[in-house]
Amino acid sequence: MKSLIFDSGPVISLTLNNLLWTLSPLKKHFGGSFIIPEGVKYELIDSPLSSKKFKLEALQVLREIYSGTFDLVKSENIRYLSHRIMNLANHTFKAYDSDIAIVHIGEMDVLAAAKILKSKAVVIDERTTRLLIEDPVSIARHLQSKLHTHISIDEDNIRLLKRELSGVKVIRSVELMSLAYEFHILDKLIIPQEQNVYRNLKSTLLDAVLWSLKLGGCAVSDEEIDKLISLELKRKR
Amino acid sequence: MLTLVKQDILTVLDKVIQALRHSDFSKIKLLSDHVIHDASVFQDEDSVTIAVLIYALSKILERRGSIQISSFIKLLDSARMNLVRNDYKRYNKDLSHLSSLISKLDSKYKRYVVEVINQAKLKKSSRIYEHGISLARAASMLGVTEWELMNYVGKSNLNFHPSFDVKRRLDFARKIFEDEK
Repeated sequence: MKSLIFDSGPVISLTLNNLLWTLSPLKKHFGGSFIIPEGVKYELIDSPLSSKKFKLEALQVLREIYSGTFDLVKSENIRYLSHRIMNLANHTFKAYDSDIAIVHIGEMDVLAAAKILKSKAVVIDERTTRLLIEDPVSIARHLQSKLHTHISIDEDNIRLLKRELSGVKVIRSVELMSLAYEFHILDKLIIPQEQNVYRNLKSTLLDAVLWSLKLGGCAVSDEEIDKLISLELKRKR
Repeated sequence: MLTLVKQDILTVLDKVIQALRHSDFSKIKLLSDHVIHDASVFQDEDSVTIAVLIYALSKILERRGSIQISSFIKLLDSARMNLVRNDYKRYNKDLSHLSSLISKLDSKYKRYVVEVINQAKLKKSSRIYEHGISLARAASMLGVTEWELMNYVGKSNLNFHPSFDVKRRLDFARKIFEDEK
């Protein structure tokens, strides 16, 4: 069965923007599984449940697990591979002769699960893990410009990373919500009478949802949001 | 403690003490960013602790200017001297006193002070994320949750450059929804 693996970021921004409910109908359109690896579950649920902040939000995510929107996955194979990828990633970039640890085990669980389960894609909103899959060398350029120091790259590790991560594809919460818009899932947020008062409410809806995700932490540029809106509106015509 | 980190902390402590003497609180905030570069690379507790404490101190001083700053100067001076002498035990004790001093400012403001320290952690972890360290890694370095940090970075006006064409990514998303298996 086909699957999508979720990192914590998209689930967090969807929850904080009251859009978590869209995942259940989206999953029906997808016709496969939405999966959360163990490390991600810890960040989404176990950690906030043991503190005061975001406890209510954690309960909302927990509900989506028990209602079947999300499936949990945990295996020795995934953990083994996620440690391997993390070790490679965290020993690839150097400054002042010191390795820069750039990623965390939870994020690597997502990539390892995608590889082992042969998933269609991973859903990731944060920039560094996405770049690790799509353009790892650009991480060095970014580090160099921000830290104002030379960053050296272990080319062997880059090659190994590319091999380990080949076939892993990334989508973000903004692409998911663009699909939710196409599938009319977001229509529930508008009632017909409102459209008599406010003009272009449908395009406003998409704009509002995409911006709420950006302000919720999704690594997407202003230009990308404009482009997504224009692509969706062209499709409607 | 790494030599480079130690040198940077000493430079920053010197400058913070000077800025305190001149009541230049906005400069103190900028100085906290200097050590956060080290924190991104070395991910050591020393750089992280000093960055958070100095940022929290600058915020407290900025908002409550009437605070007696002589006790802060005394502690920072002592920390600086102990670090020069490689007396890390006493240096860490000084920093711990500095943290307590911030927390004990005024019981009426205690809740606010806790908030300032947490805000300082969020601010610094978002900086580390901005430098290119992943969100989960930056959150775990500073002991904040991904819920807090995700929410914070979204409002921080960070600039992101796309690595893929957005149309290509959307087309791909559509395709995987249409695929049978």
